[in-house]
Amino acid sequence: MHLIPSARSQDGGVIISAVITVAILASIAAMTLFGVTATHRNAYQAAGWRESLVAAESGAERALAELQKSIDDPVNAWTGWTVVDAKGNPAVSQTLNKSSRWPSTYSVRMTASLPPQTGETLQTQYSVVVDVPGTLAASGKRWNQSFRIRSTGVVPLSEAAQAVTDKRDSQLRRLSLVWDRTLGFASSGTKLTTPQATRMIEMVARPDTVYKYGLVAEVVFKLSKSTYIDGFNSNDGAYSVSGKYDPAKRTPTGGTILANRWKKKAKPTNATEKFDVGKATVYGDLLVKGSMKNVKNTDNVQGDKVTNVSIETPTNLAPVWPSVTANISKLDGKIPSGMSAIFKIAEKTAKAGGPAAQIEAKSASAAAVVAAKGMELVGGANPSSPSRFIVGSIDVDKKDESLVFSNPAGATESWIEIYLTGDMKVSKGGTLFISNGVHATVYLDGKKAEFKDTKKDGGGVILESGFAADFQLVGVEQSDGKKETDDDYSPKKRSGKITVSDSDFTGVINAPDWDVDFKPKDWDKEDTNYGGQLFGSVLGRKVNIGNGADYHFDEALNQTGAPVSYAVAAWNEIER
Amino acid sequence: MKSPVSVCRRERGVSLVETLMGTAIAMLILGALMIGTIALQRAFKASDILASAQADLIRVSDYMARDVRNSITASAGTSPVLTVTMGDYYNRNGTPSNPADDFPNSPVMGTSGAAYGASVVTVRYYLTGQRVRRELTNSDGVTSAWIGENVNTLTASIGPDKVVTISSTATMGYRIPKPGAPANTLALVMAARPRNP
Repeated sequence: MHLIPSARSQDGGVIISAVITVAILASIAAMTLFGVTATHRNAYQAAGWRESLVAAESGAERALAELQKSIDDPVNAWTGWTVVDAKGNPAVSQTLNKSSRWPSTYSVRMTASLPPQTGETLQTQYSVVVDVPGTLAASGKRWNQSFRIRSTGVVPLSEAAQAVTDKRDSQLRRLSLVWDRTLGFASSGTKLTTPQATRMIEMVARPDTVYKYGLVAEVVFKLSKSTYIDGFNSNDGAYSVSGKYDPAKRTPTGGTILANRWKKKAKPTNATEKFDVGKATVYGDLLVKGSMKNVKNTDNVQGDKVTNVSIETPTNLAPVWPSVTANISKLDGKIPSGMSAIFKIAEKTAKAGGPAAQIEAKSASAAAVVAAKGMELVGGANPSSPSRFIVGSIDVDKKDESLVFSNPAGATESWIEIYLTGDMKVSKGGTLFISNGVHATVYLDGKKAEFKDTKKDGGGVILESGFAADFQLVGVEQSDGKKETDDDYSPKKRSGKITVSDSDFTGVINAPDWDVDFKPKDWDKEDTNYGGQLFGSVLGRKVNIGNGADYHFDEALNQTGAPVSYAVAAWNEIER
Repeated sequence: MKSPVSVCRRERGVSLVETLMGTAIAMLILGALMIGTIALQRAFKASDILASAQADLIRVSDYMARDVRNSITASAGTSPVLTVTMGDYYNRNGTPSNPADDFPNSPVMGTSGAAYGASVVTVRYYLTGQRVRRELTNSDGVTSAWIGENVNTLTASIGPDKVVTISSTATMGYRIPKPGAPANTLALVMAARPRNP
């Protein structure tokens, strides 16, 4: 008998069977594992891709918060940010620019990590760059600068650098598995040590100003039934004619008015006076801080009635200037008597085109004649160094008196700032002529500013450009001792009063604690153009519009004046 | 030294009864293994289909949500299910088929917001059979791609504040846990809001 070979044969069969069984089981396990891994990888990468958008939006929000801080707390704004070049490398030779206008080559960057999550080994990051491309740069004529925010969220993927099986997922998510596919980084195109999901968004932040709405009242407003408030846009040919108002081209929802009352005030003796829309026709929306219970006569509001809306409108401080162009005790606009005849001819020419507020002084010669015969203040050609005057009072109240703001020789655009410590009056045929290209700001620190009795007698404010932002009245807050209390409805005292009567007016008023009265006399009935025509935007404490005055809000004004907040003007995900 | 007799006893083998019993037991074990394997395969296949359907729904929703976030306008319908317009972010100055030679347009401030490019890009989503098609129209023309399968229903609705809600379902042909049971339906709902003013 050959026992040993037989035993060997039996042993071999068992081993082969075991190996085959193990191989089959291993294959099944491998297939299962492969499928599960692929599914897991897909879900994991999709989750990372989504999280990277959250990270990118965090970065953009951070930039928006910093822009807001540049308004509220400019000294501490942009702390921790660095100036970088076009490739994202630190530009050591440049210091951080906190001023309002950035050159087009200027960018600041912040890279930070999101707070770590439980079980997370690699932290999610964002990197955000803020700059001002040439197309968003400031234009003295119309625009404040806007900012471009590019934010990238980066989520490390701890799994192996393998693409998912369905290429449509790869096309959608475009992960950086081996090479960094993120745009605009110093590391772009380099080999990665850890795969990552990145998403980049581009946001445009546009400044909003106090001139965002047609009319904002802090304490109360009162309108009259024959008044209508609408909107146009001097920057958009669809809603204006050569930048001027045309009733046939009013904006569909313009002329929004806001009953603000955002400040908590001391309790008044009497019940709070209601905002009175007066059944005026308002083409835009009516916005109210709380509910509608404090507003009445809203029947003819064409837009929406929106509750719980308010904006912060900080009162204005007196300007502090390192130097001034001149100190002038009084501007009375007197001209030599021998020139009065020439002046009248120029005045007649200038007014031939329509209401005083829209007069363009049709020809350069007419403007030149007016300028030559009045008291002239010349602007500074650089927006960062305007002509600055401290003036005791402005009193232009006779037909042969005029005050002219003009550009310096050879310049088409200039800036003038006047700090008026006393009162301002333009009346009875006196003229304040602001030449095309001049941007004038008058800080009112007296008790009153009056523009009246000019329709019958001629004169008034002639804004040659017709763009309301070129004439800004800024009401300065008085000390408590100098403020007035007008009646029981005034828990908050007023600093002064601006009155426009029997006159058209083009300009913007930023005076949160000044009262504003538009009460032109009811003239012009013969041409159905009842009452005064008011163009611009008003922020006041108590605002009255009466006697059939019509009010036309220029929506382009939101891009001028001091920013109070930032809004998102565009949002895009960069998909490549 | 062990005796030869004991060696012979060890090599005498098993009896027929023992063989039959062993075979029966082995058959039982193999049968159980087979049933278990089939069940495992069925579960694995079902999971695979589930994962695949889920991936399809997620991909479709992610595409649509991304486009909604980028959109300037959005409108819902039946066919197309969703239409959005977006700013023309890329200036396609080069070869249309080569995105590498495109470069981003700079935003230009308009009256209501910042705009990119001279025209808008329109994206439409269609559900045809159980496949979802994304059709993109820009100044280069129309490009179309199938972005998902296994999608049984796809709807979009626009609510307050322009929030777009995308609902999709996938009906899986492979039934869990056993044949004859109702078909399983996977549903996904996602909401996205246009970020542009």
